[in-house]
Formats: sequence, C-alpha cells, structure tokens
Amino acid sequence: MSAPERFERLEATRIVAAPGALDEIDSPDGGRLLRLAPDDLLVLPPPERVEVADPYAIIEPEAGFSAAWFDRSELARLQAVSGWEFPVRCPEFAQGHLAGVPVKMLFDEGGVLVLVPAVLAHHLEERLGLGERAE
Amino acid sequence: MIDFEGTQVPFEEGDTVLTAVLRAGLWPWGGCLCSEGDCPYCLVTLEGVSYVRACRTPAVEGLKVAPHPSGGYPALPSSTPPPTGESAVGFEMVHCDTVVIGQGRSGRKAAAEARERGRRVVTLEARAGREAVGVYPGPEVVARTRDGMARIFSAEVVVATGSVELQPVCPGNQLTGILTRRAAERLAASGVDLGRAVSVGRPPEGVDCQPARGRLVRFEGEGTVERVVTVDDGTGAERTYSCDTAVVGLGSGPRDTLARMAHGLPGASSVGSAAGCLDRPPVPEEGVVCPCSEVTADDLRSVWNRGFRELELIKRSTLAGTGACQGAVCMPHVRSFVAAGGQELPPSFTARPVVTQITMGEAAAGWYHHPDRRTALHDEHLALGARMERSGGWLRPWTYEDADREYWAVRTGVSICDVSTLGKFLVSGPDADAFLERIYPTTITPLRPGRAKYVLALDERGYVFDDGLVCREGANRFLLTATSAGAGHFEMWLRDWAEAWGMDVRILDRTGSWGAINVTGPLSGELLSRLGAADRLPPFMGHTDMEVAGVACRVMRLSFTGEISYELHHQASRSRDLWRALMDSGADLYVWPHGLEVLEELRLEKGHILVGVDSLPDSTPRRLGHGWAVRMDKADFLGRLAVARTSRMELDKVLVGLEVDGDPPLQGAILRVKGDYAGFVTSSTWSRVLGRSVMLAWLQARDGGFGGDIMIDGRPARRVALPFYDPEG
Repeated sequence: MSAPERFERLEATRIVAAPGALDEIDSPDGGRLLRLAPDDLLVLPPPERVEVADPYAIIEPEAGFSAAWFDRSELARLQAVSGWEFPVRCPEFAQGHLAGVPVKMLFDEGGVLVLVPAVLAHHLEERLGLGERAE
Repeated sequence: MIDFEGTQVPFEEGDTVLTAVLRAGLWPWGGCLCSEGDCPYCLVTLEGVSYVRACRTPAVEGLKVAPHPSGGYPALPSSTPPPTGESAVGFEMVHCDTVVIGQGRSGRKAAAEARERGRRVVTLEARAGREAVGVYPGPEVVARTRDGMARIFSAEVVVATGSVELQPVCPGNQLTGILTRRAAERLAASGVDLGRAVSVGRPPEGVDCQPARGRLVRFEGEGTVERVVTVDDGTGAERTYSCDTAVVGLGSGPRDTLARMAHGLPGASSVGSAAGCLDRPPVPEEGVVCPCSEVTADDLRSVWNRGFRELELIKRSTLAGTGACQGAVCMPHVRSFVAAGGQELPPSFTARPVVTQITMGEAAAGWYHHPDRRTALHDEHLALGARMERSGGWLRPWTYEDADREYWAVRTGVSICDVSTLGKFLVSGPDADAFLERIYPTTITPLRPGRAKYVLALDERGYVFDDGLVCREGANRFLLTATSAGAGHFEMWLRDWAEAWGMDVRILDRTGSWGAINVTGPLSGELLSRLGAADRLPPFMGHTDMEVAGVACRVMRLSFTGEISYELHHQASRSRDLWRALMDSGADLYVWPHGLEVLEELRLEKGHILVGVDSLPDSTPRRLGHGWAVRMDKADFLGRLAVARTSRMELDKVLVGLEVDGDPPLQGAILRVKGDYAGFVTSSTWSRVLGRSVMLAWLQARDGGFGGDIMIDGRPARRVALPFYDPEG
C-alpha cells in the first residue's frame, strides 16, 4: 500500500519572526524546517524548546494542518491533478494546489509529505480518492 | 451503420459522419461545407449532445445522429446530470515545455525543432482527436481529447493551425450542394459522388469539375444548388452553369483564433499559414454574411448607416461573429465591409476561449469547486443531528433540528456554539500599538493586558467592512478577531497596510489552527466552574488563559447572544475533547448546542449587527448607529478623513430597529412611508422571548428627517430603540 488512507492532523510549531532571526534557527534532530514565507516558519515535529533571536517573535503550537505521506509511486497520480510541475530535485519544499486544494509539499527521496489546511483535508481525501483506494 | 435521423447509413474505416452521410447520397446541410471544422453548417446532435460538427466526428457503429433543425436551435438536453462530486468527463493535467497546436507541415516542423532543442513537446491536432479549445495565461492550453479534457501547462505555445477557406457571400449561398475547394478534394477522394460539379475561382485538384469563368454573382436553385451564375466584369455579361455541386476556391485567411487568444502571452507564437495574411474578399453586397446569427449584407449597411462603424460595434449590434463558428465564416467579409468604408482593414474580433462548442461537462472537467471548510467539530455536529449549511466559506450547523430547545437553552440555561470559524489573528512587534491605532477608528493603546474592545474596521472611504475584537495579551502583542466570512480579506488588509506603512509587526492567522466554542446562557459560569474554571473567569470584555476540562484555553467574556457568554479559544486538535466535556458536564443543566438559525434570532433580539448582512457597501459608522465606536479625537486612522467629511453631511439613511405584529417580513422586504419607497429590511425574526417580529432595516430620510408611518407588506411597523431584548443588560 503506497497511498495513505487519510490525512492526519499534524503537530508542529509555527514561528513568525524577523526573517533574519528565522535564518539562524537550526533544523532540529530528525526534524524539518519548512519556510512558508520569509517571516514564517513551520517546525516539524514541535521542538521541546526553540530559541528565536527576535523578542517579538510569535511562537505557537500549530494545529491547523493535516498531513499524509505519499510514496514516489504515487507522484504521477498527484501530478495529474496539479496545475504546477513538481520539482525534480530532492529535498525540495513547494506550495501550490492539488486538485483545487491549497497544499504544502515536502519532496524527499522516498516520496512526498503533503500538508493541507485541516479544515480542507476532507476535500483532498475525497478528490484523491484516498478512502476508496484503501478499500 | 450509423443511424442518421432514422436512416441507416453505411460507413468505411476512417470516415467522418459527414463523409458517410454525403456518400450515402444524403445532403441535409445548407450552406458551403468546409469539412474542416470551421463553418457552422454540418452541426448535428450526436447521442443527445448538440453543436457537434459532423466533419470532426468519426463514424462508429450504432452512432445516433440528427441534423440541427433548419430553423431555430436544437432542443436543450433533458438528460440527468451526474451525481454531485462526480465528473462525467475525464481530464488530465499535463506538463511539458512546448505545446504545438496543429500538425500540418508547419506544426510538424515546429515540433521537430522544439524536440531538437531538448524540449518536451505535446502536439495537438483536431483531426486526430486532440483539439485545442482555448489558450489561457500561464500559458495554459485546454484541449478536448478522445479521453476527455486536458489542461496542458507549458513554457511555449506554438500555434500552427493553418488557414481557413473563404466562404461565398452572395444570393443563394445557403443552398445545399456547395463546397469549399478543399472540402471537395477531401470528399471526392473519399468516394463522395459530387455529380456535375462546377468550380468558381481556384479549382479543386483531383476533382472532375467544370471551371466557371468570371466573378461569382449568385447560386440558384430550389433548396439545392442547380446553377452557378458568374459575371464578366469587363463586359458585364452573366454566365450560368448548371450543376449538382458548386465548388468555391475564393482564397483563404489565417485560422488564427487561437493565435489571437495567445497573442501577448509570454512564450506564445504562431507559424505557417496561421501567421499569414487574409486574402481580402470582395465587399459583401447581397446574401447571408453570418449564417450563425443570420446577418445579411443589408443588415451590415443598416447598422453602418446608424453609426456603428467599427468592427466590434458592428459585431455587437448585429451579433455577427457571436455564433457557433465564432466568426470563421463572416469575419473576413465584415472586415472587408468596414475597410470599404474608407478605413484600413481592421484587425479581427477579440478572440476569447473557447474556440469551438464544448459541453458543460467538458467545460467543468478538471476544475474543482471552491472547497467549503469544516471545523474540527464537524463530525460532532453530525452526530447530534445537525443540518449543515454553507456560511462564509464554512460548513456550519444551521440547526440541530429543535430550534425551541436550542433557543431556550441559551435564554434559560446553558448552550454551546461552534464559533471556530471566527477570524483570529495574532499581532506582535514594536509597532503593534501604532499599527492598530491606524487600523482601527478607536483607541488601542490604553487597552490593558487582559482586556478586550469591540472594534469596527473601516476602509479608506470610511465604510465599515468588518468588525471584531481587539484583545491585548501584553506589551506589543494583541489578538484580533474578525467575522467568519471576512477573515481572509482581513488578513490581507492587515498585511498590506503593515507593508505600506513600513510597520515592524508580525502577523499570524490562527483561524484554522484554533477552535472556538461559545458557552452562553445564565448557567454558563456554572458549567465552566465544573470544568475547573471556578473563580477565575474573566469579567465582561476581559480574557484570560486557563485550562478548561484539561484543555488549554484563552477564555474571553463577551456576548453576541444577549446572555452571559464565554468564548473558549483553544488548539483545534483539542476541540472534540472540549466539546464533549462541555456536553457531558452540562447534561444535568440540559446543555444543548445551538446553530446559526437560532444565533440569528438571539443576536437580532439584542440588536447586534452582522456586517455584510445588515451593512451595505457604503455603510458609515454613523449610518449604522455605531458612531460610538469611532474616536475622532485620534490623530489618524484608516478612513478618518472620509468619516470627518461625511459627518458634516446630513444623514440620508440609518439602520433602525422595527417591530411588526404577526410573522416577520422577509429579508429585503420594502419599507414604505406614505406609499413611497423608504428602505428595506436587512434581518428579521420572530422573537420567542418577546412574542413579536423584530428586524433591522435601512430607513431613508424624507424631508430631512426619519419620521412618518412606516408600512411593510401592508402592515404598520413600529420603530423601536435597540436592543429589542434586555436593554438594561
């Protein structure tokens, strides 16, 4: 089984701060830093502690995304419902739409982690036929 | 065999429907057939789908085909649409470097050259069942294929669609039995018997026909062409040629609709005949110019004489070029007509997608409806029997199917409501105070940590476009709320102004990440106390952080229902735990959730406006009766100049509270004073607690005031001070 059955709510930490302060944050062991915007960072998984050199930084638990992992064998199927072309090299982080739903995608050697706003996850599950494929 | 209007028609391998039908000796179509998909003459209804070109449709066994009616339009389909969420037409999204539209000589050459450059090439050719129907910015080409629709994204688009043959415009040009030169060549090669054929202009190759000398004057015949009449321009003598089929070779022009659509897009170009020039036809003098809209040469002269002397104006006034062929037949002639009026040959009509007829299913293929958002409590609502409705881009509970229970739980006990949809934003930074002072028309700086304030959001014209709360969390840090429907716009509003003013602030949208549950009713404090909030609940318009049922919450005390209310903002991942704890702990208090239907009644009884429902695009705070939310003694805020100016003007309309006996009037019901229009109702409800209908309505000034007896639906309405319910609070 290479396709997930559904998206699961993701636990992460969101940091909005001066871009220079975000540049200095190191990637946590085994974790990921996803730069959503120059002043916006998503840290996976949520670190126990994070230092940000910006006294006005907003550091918040993030519960607004759901995520699912797709193997590389699923990429062609995802590409077929995407109006933008997936990056060739890995690792790469990209943001766009899949099947008309806004997503963030972290491409890795083994596949892609798809993040979708949790409030829209059910649409993407339906449009990708995740539940049906699992059956 | 194909079934052509009840007649069984044989066909050969590779036949189109047009070829098979004509070979069978049937000729049901009037006008000059082009057999290349350009003209509108061979349109048929195919398996219930109309506006299909017979010349583009492969003949297959058992196909049911009927020509369009000779007058009027084909009947609308009566088939049942597919179930919601399912597409009847397949689609694919394709990514490449170069799309080449058309696979004639120029198209094949362009594709080969692109491949030599290492480009990934997609080719489209209508005759091969891969037909481009539109070019969009991107560039993006939308094509119809035998498998459905394709959206093709590329860096380059090469249009190589070749040329389109000119059609004859003269009396008799709508008779049957007329072909363009290339159509005659193609059909004759396919074994179609053209009988005695007479050609005008350039003769077809490989077709046995008699060339007619002179300039074409008219076709003659009863329904079918029987004679071709030409004139010798030197002597003025007419010649008549008897025939079964007339073939016209009058020149050509670029088949450039897609090229014009792509014009100006980065990476778009056209090659070959598609980039060529028009063989300018003679000025139309008689006959049908535009068969789709039945526009004659007389019609062109008529609108010209009435002052419509530009191509686009003539198109709009006659509808020439707006039909099934999108100007393929008429446009060269209309351009020539305009040029004869003393102007240069005008450029072609504006080209817009789609270039040929497609079905609604094909148009919808590959496009997704805008998704409705669901809160984390969606399944909880369904489990409680909620009927969900779309509201502000969300699916929200409208009712739990017992409005009385929902209402009285709020007014006499305790109720909960999922308000996760509210816009929620964190703002932090050294300029946070100054920023919000300029965003909002009220004072922000004096607000102490732990306190909240109701705010209006005004645009530069001083009009209200949103409202919400400002909560100070600490020095230089705030939580803002906005309406559910307005949250997306409000975030852009904040970011745009922060950037425009160069303010040093950080902004984070928490709308999707935080859930929010409103606990409301006289027993709301009791319920929250049971869940660990005893003695720590904030005062009115205060907020504090605490755990409720083990869930970290920001508890805000405010009211939209007219009863004591606490909004519990929390991580959306804990919404279900919190909701269930509230329901379980409040069971003996008869806690019950309420939906939007009852919330509408509750807020209206309390006279609270709903921005976007009760407000208009030109609603100033004063017109809304919210002048108290504006501090004109502030140095500046968005819309201040406009508010100052409009405040000096006489008030022309105002939002008022009204009551009537009996059922509430509908939203939008007209107010009349002495029989004249005096405004309309924006929100109305039957108030269970008051026992009468109450509403908000816009009332227009008359004779400098707002007096007079107001009638709604023929019933007298009483103007009353707001709120309707519990004015003492």
